[in-house]
Amino acid sequence: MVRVKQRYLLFSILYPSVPNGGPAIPQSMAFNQPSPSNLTRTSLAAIIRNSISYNFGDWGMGQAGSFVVKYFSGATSTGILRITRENYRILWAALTYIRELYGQPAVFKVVRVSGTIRKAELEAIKLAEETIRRVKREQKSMEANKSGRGVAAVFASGKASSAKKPQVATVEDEEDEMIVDIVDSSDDDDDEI
Amino acid sequence: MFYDLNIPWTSKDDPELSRTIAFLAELGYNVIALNQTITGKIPAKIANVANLIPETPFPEQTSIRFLRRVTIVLDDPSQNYGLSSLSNNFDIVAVRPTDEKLLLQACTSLECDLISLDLSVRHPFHFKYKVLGQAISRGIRFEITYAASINDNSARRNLLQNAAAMIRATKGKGIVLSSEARKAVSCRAPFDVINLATLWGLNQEKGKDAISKGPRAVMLQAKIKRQSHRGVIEVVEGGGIPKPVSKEVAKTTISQKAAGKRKAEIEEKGTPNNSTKESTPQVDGAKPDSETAVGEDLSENRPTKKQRKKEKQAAKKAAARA
Repeated sequence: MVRVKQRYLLFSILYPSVPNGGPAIPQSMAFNQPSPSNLTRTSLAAIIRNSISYNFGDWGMGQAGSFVVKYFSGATSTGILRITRENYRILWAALTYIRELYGQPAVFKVVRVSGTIRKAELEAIKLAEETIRRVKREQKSMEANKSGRGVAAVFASGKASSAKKPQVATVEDEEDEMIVDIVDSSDDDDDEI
Repeated sequence: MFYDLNIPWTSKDDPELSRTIAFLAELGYNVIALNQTITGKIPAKIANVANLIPETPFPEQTSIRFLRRVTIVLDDPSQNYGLSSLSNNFDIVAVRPTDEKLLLQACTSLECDLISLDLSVRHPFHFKYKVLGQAISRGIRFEITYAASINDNSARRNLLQNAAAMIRATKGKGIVLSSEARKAVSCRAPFDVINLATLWGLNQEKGKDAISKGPRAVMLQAKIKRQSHRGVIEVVEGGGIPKPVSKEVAKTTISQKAAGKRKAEIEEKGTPNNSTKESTPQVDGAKPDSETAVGEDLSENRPTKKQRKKEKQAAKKAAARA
């Protein structure tokens, strides 16, 4: 009996375009801003499928079309994809060739390729914490120069509905979501043939 | 350390360029070369072109090191490009041949560090190892730029074809991956680029070398070519004649020293001319002063070994009591 080997790709979406006319925000906050609210797990999967079929055709769809979006958080713009081990490079390249989401320029950056979903999740938490730390540091130095509460404004515009406690809350939020996701998704990981 | 050796320079105030640089920093690049492309004849006063890029172009990006690079578009085989004059003003000198003859010339004889073919168009000739291998054996590397393939579909097709052909012809050696991105959107993170390279036929390890070790070698080699004699000998420290120290300064230093430790040392040894390796002008200045001091010691009451031992022991005892 052989187990099906999988790869989990942890990716983050970066938005290189700075919103014009808004308040001044830290540089890495601008790049790591929250995704548009209509980007969900299903719509993201559709976008990635489009990219695969556009770049790799029917053959690519047959090889790499069977991926699953295991987790996606719009607030931190990070997510986890699952794909069989042989085909992860095709999926990765398809991600690299995506250049916009809903008309907004976007860059997918694969942060980690992992054999287990647990490691990918731990890395996601680490990544979010690190980003927040960096944004805080940058904002501190910005506030030293001039006062500006830009970070909250970004969240208010990006996630119109749920932006209560923008900065600090994100890590905890994500961890909560993570735990839920682990429960959701740990069922089909060790299926055997 | 990740390198991007090709970011086209526009101007210091261009918001897109500064955003591109900031985005590259976010993606994890450490060294960026700002590129200026020269088509046709090289201007006589090349320093003016080089000085368009200031010493620290983006001081707010503290994590990134900037290099100056120039790319010469070769389109006339008969013209003599004075490439050696460029290397004084730029960190990296690259050439972009437009046909097979010029490619051969660039591989065999031209004084450059990098050969940057435009891979987003179809070339009417094949890449041959015989030609490219000569460049590799001279330490010149080939550049593959990926940004065009992200924006444009036909460029993507051509790049796939050309990059695969080039990697096959060079056997994966001497390849450098860089972006040539005019917009922040067409930049990609280092490992994403490595993954693209695996699709072109470069394996993971060689792909990683092509974005970290390869560009570093280009940078260092260009530096060595610039600073050393024929790339073999480099004078690190001038040595030879020490800098002349003005006498007044010398005197003050010596009088301070003589008051302290040195005079005592000389008295003990009793050999004034056996001066240690202090820089010569200072010692010269010291001579009149120290000789008078030592001269008294020389007169017969020079301590013997036994006496010195006794003195030392006495000193030790005194120290112990204290």
